[in-house]
Amino acid sequence: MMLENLDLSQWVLGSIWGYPIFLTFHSLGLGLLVGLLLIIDLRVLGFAKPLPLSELRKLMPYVWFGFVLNAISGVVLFMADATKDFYSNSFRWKMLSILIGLVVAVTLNGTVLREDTKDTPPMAKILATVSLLSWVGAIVSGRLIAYLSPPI
Amino acid sequence: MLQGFLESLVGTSIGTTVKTSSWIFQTLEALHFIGLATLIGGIAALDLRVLGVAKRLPVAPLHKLLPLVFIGFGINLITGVLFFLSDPVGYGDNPSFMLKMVFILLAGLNALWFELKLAKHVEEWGPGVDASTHAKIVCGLSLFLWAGIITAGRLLPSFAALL
Repeated sequence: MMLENLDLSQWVLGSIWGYPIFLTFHSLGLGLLVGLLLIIDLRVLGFAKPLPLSELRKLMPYVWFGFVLNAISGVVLFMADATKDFYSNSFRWKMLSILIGLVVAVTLNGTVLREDTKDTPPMAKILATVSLLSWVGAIVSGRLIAYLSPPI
Repeated sequence: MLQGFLESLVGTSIGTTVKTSSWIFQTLEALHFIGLATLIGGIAALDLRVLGVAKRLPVAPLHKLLPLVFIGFGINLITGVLFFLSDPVGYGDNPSFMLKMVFILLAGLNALWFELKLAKHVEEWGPGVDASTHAKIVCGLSLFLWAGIITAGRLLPSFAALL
């Protein structure tokens, strides 16, 4: 694939440090993105009720920052391995999981997190559960890209 | 002495199982990342609030999320020990591994300091109340150390490739 021939892609793949540096950003972003969403999702599910939802919402910029960090590092990692990733089922599962997780995060941010109710409605709890499952799915399928991809 | 200790850990049946299995190592890695998110989530939420982000969050209930942090740490301790046992000498010789262990020790001492010196104040830091400068330094250090732990962990295979 053409993407793999770019200088950046070649450096990332060829240098000992290129790939791990972007993987490091990817892991730091994961910690922020999934870590903080986990806290928010648990609160929506009914844990730590003294934490007001509208104030937890102020952590969302850090969640988005983690997401952008991972989107950028993810694109670079993809470029270096575009053919392998593109044909990998694990990669496709990961993208689907992220899409679901992102839509749910945007929805929670626009609805439940705007209201300061102690007890969230059942629909909100379903969304928080889907959020947790989708990010766990993204992590697991992401790990599997490295192992289950067909050799090129 | 350290070398002798590392060599004595080579070839344990559990280490060999992790090393030779076609699926155990990968599964442990996925768990290690889930543990990472669990651990970092609880830590980052408390640290960011103490540093002044989302200040209307009371600190006490965030501090009560500590069991979540321990669950994440427990997952990563168990999976981490199993990685180590799969190749004790390789990990022991790796500077990035040593750096990671030192950072974990420092992060642990830093958290212990918070518990001993600052935890008694968390009830005072209610909605909108600024935490002390002392607490901000400890929590800033905590974020720095955990970022360092993730970085050292991620760079570990590259050092292994260099050696």
